[in-house]
Amino acid sequence: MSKAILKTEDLRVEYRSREMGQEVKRALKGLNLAVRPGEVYGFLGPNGAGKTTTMNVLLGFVNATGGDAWLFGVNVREPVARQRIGYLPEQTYYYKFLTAEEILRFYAKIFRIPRNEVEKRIDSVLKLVELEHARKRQIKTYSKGMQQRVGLAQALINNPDLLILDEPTSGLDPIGRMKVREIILRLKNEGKTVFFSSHELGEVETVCDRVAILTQGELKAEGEVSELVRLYQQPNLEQVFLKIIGYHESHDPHHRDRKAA
Amino acid sequence: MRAYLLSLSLLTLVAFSLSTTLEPWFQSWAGSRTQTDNVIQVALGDSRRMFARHFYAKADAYFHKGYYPSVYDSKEGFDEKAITGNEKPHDDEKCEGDFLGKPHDWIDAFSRNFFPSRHVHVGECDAHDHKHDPDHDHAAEAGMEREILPWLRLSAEMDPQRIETYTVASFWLWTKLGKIDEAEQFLREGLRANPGDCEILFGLGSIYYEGWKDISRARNVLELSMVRWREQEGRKTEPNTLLLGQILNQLAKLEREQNNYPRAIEHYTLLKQVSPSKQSIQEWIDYLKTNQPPSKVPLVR
Amino acid sequence: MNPTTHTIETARLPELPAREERAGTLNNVLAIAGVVIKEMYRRKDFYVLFVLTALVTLLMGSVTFFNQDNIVRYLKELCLFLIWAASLVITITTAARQIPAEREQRTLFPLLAKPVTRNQLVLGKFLGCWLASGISLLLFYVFFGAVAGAKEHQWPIVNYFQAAVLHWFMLGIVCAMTLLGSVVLAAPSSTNTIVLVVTVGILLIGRHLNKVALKLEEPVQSIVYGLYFVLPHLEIFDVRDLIVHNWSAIRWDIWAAGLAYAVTYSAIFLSLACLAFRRKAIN
Repeated sequence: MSKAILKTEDLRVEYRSREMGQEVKRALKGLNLAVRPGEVYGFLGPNGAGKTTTMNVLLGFVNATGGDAWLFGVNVREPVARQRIGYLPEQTYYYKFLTAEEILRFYAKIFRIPRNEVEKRIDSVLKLVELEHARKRQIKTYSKGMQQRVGLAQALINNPDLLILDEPTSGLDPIGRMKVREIILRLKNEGKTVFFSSHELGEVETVCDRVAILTQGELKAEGEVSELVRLYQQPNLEQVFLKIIGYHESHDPHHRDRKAA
Repeated sequence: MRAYLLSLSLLTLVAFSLSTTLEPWFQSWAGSRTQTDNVIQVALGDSRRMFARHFYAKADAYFHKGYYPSVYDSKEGFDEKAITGNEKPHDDEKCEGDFLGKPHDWIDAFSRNFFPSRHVHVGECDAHDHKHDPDHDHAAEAGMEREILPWLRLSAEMDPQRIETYTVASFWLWTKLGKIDEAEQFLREGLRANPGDCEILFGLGSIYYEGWKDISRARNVLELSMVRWREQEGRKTEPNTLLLGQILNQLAKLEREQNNYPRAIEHYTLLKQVSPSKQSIQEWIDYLKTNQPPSKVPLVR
Repeated sequence: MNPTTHTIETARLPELPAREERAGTLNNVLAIAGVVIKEMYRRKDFYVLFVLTALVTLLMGSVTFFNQDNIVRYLKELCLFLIWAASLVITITTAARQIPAEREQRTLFPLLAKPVTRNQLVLGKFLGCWLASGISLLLFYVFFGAVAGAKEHQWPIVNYFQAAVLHWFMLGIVCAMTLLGSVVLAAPSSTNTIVLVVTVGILLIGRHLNKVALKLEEPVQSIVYGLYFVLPHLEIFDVRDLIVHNWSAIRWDIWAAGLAYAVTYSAIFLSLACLAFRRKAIN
């Protein structure tokens, strides 16, 4: 039995929505998760399922209404819990007036990486994300794909044991997606743990060891991709996903139109 | 596209027609700023007078080395006429905190260390500095009256009709800085902006008399200033008799020194009517009539 | 297929000693401050304001009044006024955009996903803005000293030092106040406007609020009088008149008390900013 790097226990988050007349919205309803070292864990769900909320709790952006969460056995409310993680948000515009090198140096300082190691780390992560040529250029001159790769580089600067990636391929072109996928696989080979959310189910199928499917704040299924495919008797993960979230083609107005035509 | 071009042409035509109608009216409109060639007037309009007042007060504050009451302070006990050179000498210890009064609270007391809170005049040494700093440079303070001049210049630029700006500036230029020429030029500038003003004429006459020692010119200008005073002030219910007294006194002194006693007696007789110190003037009249010196040293700057 | 995680143990991180934690706080605060300083010197705002100040001062310095070329106090006053205006604009606009820009550009997320607390973020932003304003102030005062010295042929270094440091500490209060505003208010533009109005208001009438209160009816009188004691008296730090008119230096104990006053108010505003930011949802 391996020890969990990331763990949640009966995690609950409730919001009071102003638009809805102070009505309570339950974003997470008792979520239990456990991610083991070295695995690539796909966190799936339709929009509004609670994926980002879970990540926000894990990173200390949002306080849980109930239950608890731990990273490396330390409660997520403690900043030290984030010492050995790397995080890539879905869409971030990094400090535009800094160069990639300066941004990485800044984050390296936060992690208190020894001075003699900083430059080596910067070189290696820039090489990994293929941004060596643009390291001295200010971020404002970068394309979206390059900015996403800077994000990945900053997530890796502390050589983290756990990577939390929030839709890392969103908005990227096919080549960009392929590169991100390659990096995830490479990290997996290096023995890193990756916890990531994505809507690209084909990609998840390719890289993930295990997946969890979340709808309306509840965990509906968890396991290896092949196991889920077998259990739900579906041809692939996409069909499993659609079945779990209760989507039928007949609900799709475009499908109905196509059929009628 | 055609309709678009047509409407555009129509709008241009309307704009042009309106401008040909409005522009002549605007040029002839009494409130139009374009009628002046003064850039400041064009830019600020009548609000320039407010700035002029501010700059004049600024000159007064400079005269007091930054020690000056704000609109929130009581001005009682603070002589606003100080800058005109007519302020009585004051005792430093007595005047300390005159408009400030005693500190109201600790914040008030504490903050007084951070702004000028002692009544001194530019060109004079502060008694406190004197006591605390034996190496105080007294020579450095000499001629510091010059520092008030930029504000008076600006005040005159902003409001050329503000008479005291010219008279005050010329007074300091002439008496403290020895710049008689500049003082005369500035007064002439004032006279151009305010033709025939009796106060400026008096200032000019004084400069000719005491500065240039040009007696005949001084006499002419001072007599003209008296004529103008009668025209400008004589019809008022509360005329500026102080100015009349100054003009008459200056004229009487001039004639006395020129041994033209009958004219001097004439001026003193008129002066006696408006002056509060009638006794001493009568003594001068008696002296001139009998050639006996008066018991007191009267008047005269 | 529901997961059962209760049987899985969690891997534990070794606990950090207290001294390490303190060093970590300082390290993070300094790192964040460094980014703010870099931002200041890479933006054009500071250079524009400095050039403008220098141009206006030199232009006014070239004017001669009544053929008297050694008139200098008006020039000192003008230059100091421009320095005060520029420093307030630089400090307020820099501080006001820090936290909202982090949220808007979403750089707050990768930053807070690192071992950085929200308090450290606020402190780092404050230190960065304060140091940046200090650097700009140093340049401005060097320019002022050069202009005044060239005209006056004297360099009262002690007086200039006292004035510049008091000015800098006053900017500390303004900076902390702006950070608090930027956490509480939604848009940086509203923070800019409100803090600028409050700061200029205090500078103009802070010293006279007690006198103003006396002329008012109750309960407004008590409120205004209360404000007089509660508001930071920024005007205390405005010693321009002493510098312009060559008054002697302030007593050092009084000067130090002034700095302590600034530190106290900065700490109050910073604590409030930390408290407000800690309670703020950032998702």
